[in-house]
Amino acid sequence: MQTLMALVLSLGQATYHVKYTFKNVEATSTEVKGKINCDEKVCEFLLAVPVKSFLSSDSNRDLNMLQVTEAEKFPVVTAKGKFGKEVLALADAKIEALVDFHGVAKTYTISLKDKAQKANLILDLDAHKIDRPSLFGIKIKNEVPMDFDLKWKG
Amino acid sequence: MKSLLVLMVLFFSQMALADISLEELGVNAEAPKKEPSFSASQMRLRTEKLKTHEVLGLITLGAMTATYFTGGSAMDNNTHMYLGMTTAALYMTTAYYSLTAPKPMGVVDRGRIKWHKGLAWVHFPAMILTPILGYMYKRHEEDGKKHGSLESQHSTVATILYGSFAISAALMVVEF
Repeated sequence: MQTLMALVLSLGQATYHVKYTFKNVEATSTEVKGKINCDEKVCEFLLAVPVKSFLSSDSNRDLNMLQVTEAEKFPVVTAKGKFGKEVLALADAKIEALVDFHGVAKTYTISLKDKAQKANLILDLDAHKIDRPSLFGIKIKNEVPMDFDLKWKG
Repeated sequence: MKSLLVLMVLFFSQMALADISLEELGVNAEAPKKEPSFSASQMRLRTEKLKTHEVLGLITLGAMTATYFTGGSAMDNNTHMYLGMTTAALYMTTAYYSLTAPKPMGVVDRGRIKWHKGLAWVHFPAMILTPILGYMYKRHEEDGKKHGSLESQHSTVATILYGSFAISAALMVVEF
């Protein structure tokens, strides 16, 4: 297998959406890095984003997130996998990716849109052994949707 | 011929699909080796104190609501006064947990927390003033004396206290 085509992220943005009884919180990182290597048929990819680069509308909450995710110990979230080269030309596609978050790797189905310019997945916090924050005994929802905006350049 | 073959193998092995590394992306996934300026135990203490602050704040808001709405019967019985004393004690305890929570150096307040803290400059003086004015009002009422202009503002100051405190709490609990 030869790398016939390599794409690098020129602009990468990731947003997570945390849901709680009274509110939905979102935080965005503009420091997503990524690369896709393709041979004739198959592409492999790696996306990486520093945990501390996610910023919400509240600096206090971001500090709490760093503690909950143990960002000092596990500073980067990565997603990697392989897919058929034709995916890069499709408006909609689903691929598998191995997400390493909080030191625990789990396979997810990622939905791709607009020729892999947009992606989303739903993180499972319990699967990554995240001790979910709570208020009055009510924890935040286990499922955390994540959206990615990705601009690739050859 | 043999060396040419080796060169070709080397060339094509470099071209093959190999796992992309984080180094290629310029990302360092290693945890920093040096001790962090803000230790994990300090971070835990911060979280515990702020969580207590959050829960006590909401309990204080409940007590404050009860105090506010019993104001009308303050001259008939002491319920309003006792509720006010409870609210003041809860308020000070809530403030204690916030003020003593350690904070990492260099962290700049951003977003809602800035408004939350800013509103303390309104509700803290109001919290000091409200019970004093209430006490003065009740004493003068019981002694049959004329009310001063300041103590007559007890309910106005209480409204400012209740409003600013409720907004401050809502900023942290509800997403607008």
